[in-house]
Amino acid sequence: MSTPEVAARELTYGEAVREAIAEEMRRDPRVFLIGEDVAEAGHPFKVLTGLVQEFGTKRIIDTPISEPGYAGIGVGAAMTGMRPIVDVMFGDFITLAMDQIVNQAAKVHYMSGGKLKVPIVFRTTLGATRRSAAQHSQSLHAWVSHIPGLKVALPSGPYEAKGLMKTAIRDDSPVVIFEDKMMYRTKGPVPAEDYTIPFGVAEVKRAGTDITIVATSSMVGVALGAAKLLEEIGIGAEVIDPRTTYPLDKQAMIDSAKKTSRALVVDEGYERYGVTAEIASAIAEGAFYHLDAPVKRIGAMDVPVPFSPVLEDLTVPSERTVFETAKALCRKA
Amino acid sequence: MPTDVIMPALEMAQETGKVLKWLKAPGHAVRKGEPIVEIETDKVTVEIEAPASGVLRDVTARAGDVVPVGKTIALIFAPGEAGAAGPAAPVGPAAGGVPTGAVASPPPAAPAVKASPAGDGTAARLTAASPKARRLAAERGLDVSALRGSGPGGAVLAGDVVAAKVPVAEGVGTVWRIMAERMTASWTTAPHFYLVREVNVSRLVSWRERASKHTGARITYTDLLVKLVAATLSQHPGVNASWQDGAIVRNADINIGLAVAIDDGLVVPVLHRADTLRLVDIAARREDVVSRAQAGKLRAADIQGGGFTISNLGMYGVDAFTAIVNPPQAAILAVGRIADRVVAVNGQPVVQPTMMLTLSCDHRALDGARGAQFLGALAELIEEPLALLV
Amino acid sequence: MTTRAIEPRMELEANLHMYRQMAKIRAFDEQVNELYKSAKMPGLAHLYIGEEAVAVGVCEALRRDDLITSTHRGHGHCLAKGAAVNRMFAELLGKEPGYCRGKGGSMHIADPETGNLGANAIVGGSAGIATGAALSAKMRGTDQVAVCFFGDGALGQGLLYEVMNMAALWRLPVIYLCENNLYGEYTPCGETIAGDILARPRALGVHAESVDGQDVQAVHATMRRLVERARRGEGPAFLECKTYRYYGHHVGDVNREYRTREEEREWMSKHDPLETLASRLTTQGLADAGVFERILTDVKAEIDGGVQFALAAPYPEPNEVDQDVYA
Repeated sequence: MSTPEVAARELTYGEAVREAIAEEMRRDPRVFLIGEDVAEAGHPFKVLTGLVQEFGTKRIIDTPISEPGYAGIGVGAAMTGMRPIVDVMFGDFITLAMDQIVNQAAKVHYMSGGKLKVPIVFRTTLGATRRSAAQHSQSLHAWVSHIPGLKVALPSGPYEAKGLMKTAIRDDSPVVIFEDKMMYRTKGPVPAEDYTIPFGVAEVKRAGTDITIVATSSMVGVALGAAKLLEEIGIGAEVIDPRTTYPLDKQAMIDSAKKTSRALVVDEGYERYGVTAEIASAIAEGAFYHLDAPVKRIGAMDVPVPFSPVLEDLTVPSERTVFETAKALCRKA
Repeated sequence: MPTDVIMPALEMAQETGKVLKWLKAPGHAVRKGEPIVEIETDKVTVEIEAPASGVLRDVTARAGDVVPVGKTIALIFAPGEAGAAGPAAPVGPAAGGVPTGAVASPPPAAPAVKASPAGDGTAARLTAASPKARRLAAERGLDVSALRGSGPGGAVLAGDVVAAKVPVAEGVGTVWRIMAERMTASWTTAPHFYLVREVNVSRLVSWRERASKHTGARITYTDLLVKLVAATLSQHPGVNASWQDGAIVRNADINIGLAVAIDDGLVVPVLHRADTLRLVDIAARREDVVSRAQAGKLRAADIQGGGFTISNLGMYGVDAFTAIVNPPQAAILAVGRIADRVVAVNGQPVVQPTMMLTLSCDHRALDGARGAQFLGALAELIEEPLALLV
Repeated sequence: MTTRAIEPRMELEANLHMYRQMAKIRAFDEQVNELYKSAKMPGLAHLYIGEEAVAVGVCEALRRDDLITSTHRGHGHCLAKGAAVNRMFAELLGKEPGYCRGKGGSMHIADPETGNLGANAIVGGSAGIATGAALSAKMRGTDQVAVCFFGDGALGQGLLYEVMNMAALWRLPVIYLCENNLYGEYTPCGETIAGDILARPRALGVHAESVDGQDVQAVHATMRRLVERARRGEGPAFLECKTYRYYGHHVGDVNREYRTREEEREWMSKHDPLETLASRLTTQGLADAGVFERILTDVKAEIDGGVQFALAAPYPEPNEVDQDVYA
């Protein structure tokens, strides 16, 4: 099916997102994109460049700087036969649209007894170390992962960026997809043909026998880097990417932890009350009698993200901190 | 009404028993008489048999729990009885031929007797150990509290359990540990004295040959000694006794224990009412319990109620030895090998087959004179077994 | 016979239909008041009594496939758009045959069949949805119009101005229908609204008017103009309907210390929407008291039947609780 040329094709993370949106817009005339600076500007990260040329301003809609307003418009359009992609430039700004996401989009299907559907995608970003300070650097996916009625996807690379975006657009429920803004220029193999990645299915990124490292989004690369360092000292780390925080593939992580008897969860959201806590508790509950060490978690430091690069870098989990924590869990001096 | 599975009292003064391992899982079918659980008393490890056929349910004592004797530790529901249908399919052919699907399974009614997991295993919980280490230890019959932990604060980790397996299996199995504890208790609480006597066994040797030939059974010297000791005990009931709480308690029956070496240590299966048994019965019973002891398949009844113990090391070439009393019994007879020895007969050196007997006594229950009378009477019987007929 | 003879007859029938709709809403909410006070209805009940002319005047100007969004005080909107009394009551009692299978309740009745996108318990929370529905209608190439009902309290919500701005920019077929009943919950609107209400939409380029919300004919006539305008693609409109809620913020709000009994009597006796329409038609010699009495009798039978249906209806099965969280 796939020629070697196709298999070898590489796209950046940003190009993969754009390709997914473009393919879905060609496939389904109900799909449109709405948000700030999405048309001519092509988004501050240039991810959307070229879309308005192909689809026009009727389907790539620039809005005023009114996150609650256009988020709500997206919800109304989704309820009446359209399939909007609502672009929220920075993950920090979902706080502005929270009523529309949490009280409206997430609840309409249930409150109406299943009669109304809200097939909407909120596309936004996460990730620090861009020197953007406290209001443009947060990873707030735990906020929406908490809400029944929402699905949450966290692509960890170009392949996932395309596959998860396409699944999100085709889903009949509201999906919030967080792209790692630090990864837009990262290249990776992306099939040219149509494919989707199912929600709620974790992927084992690397097999290992001594410790399970569950990592999301930006932290998958960090975990894989740490796994290499661990291998040098004789520790085999299994790295698992859940890909969606809801639905969450608990069983894959539990099974892995049962095999390795140790687990470490890494996520770029704030550590307290975070995604790491939810995943760690699932593992502790499901693999309890197979665990030989407490389940550990590493999230972003519980401080507003500082501006100074020296300080900012301290707040994000790194290969070194993941390596050291995993090593200690494995009782290696 | 379901049948209670009860923590049995296997010996005098036993207050608790420890559940080592369930051999049948809740929800599984069991047949009456089939071993269902392994219990450890302070004497030995035994398998408890199902008191009825049916489905095992409401298991309230888990492996490691120490439970007072008399407590219900599980229930057996007869096939078809409410509560018999369980989540797990019964193993083997369903007793009574009741298809499980045909039995409505409402949530099982609260059983009449609901024993709380007595003992709570608090001691085990005080030991820091990882969940995996605990599970592995339980699977291997190890006590995590006995293991050295390499984890934080000395917590026992899985690796410690795996590493502990080899020395433990070779050195201190449960049976061995029990033996050590009981011998220590006897040695440190029972004041011992010893009576030694060499006896002429010429007649014993020829009796064994004749008996073997006559019955066709394999009769051992131990069997003969059981027969003779039983007869002697009936004449000297003061030796078939024990010291308990400041009183000498005489045993009602003549139950003779045999010290048997097995891979893991020492166990003492009992030949009950040995005074009533024919020699062939003694031999058959001895062969049964010794072989089951060595296979680790002793049952509760096999080790209950011993009143006097014989320990024979003759087959190892030992001339004579002093045994430690098997508490709470009053005495134990240590038997050496049969060998031709020079003895003085009527002032002349004569070569005869002899055997060295050493009677160890708990001085609280026996004094020297009574012990000597018993040993003298036994020696006379050994030298002239025909006296049995008198 | 000429059309001159037919038209007045049709107009009379339309007026009597509006009377019937208003009477139904009033009888419905009076029954809700009874159910609530006799502890048969859980939750909260926000009564629409007094404001019937707004819902009816507006919805009678709409097609069945036009869309509305409603509010916490929304029973009138739902009924006016065509909801059935029995399933409304069932929903209010949390029963299985309710419009939302008992999962929405009084404040969340949705009925896509009649173009009702749902009542919203967030004040002003549906402004985005209605505007999005209008955008959707435009993108799908239909000539549907969306109406966003909200109260004077929602004038404090920023969302409203964001979406009116976009609706004006994109000339969306949406009508922002402000039911100004003078009180936002327990606070007179004079304490919460600065300046001129109509000046706000006008500043955004949204056509704005005000009408006597107790006069169903006036509301209806105005709405017909605004709806036609929106259908023609001339963009959004804002209509303020001056009205009055006879009861408190909700059934439990009995003291109503924030307003006087004289004020209430004044509205009820001089500005009652049913009375206003009935006396006008009577004065014009188009109907007599017997006509209205027959309507009230019919309505009462319909309401009684609906309540009996709801009281007898089953509650949802427990396994319903986690159904429809995701589509």
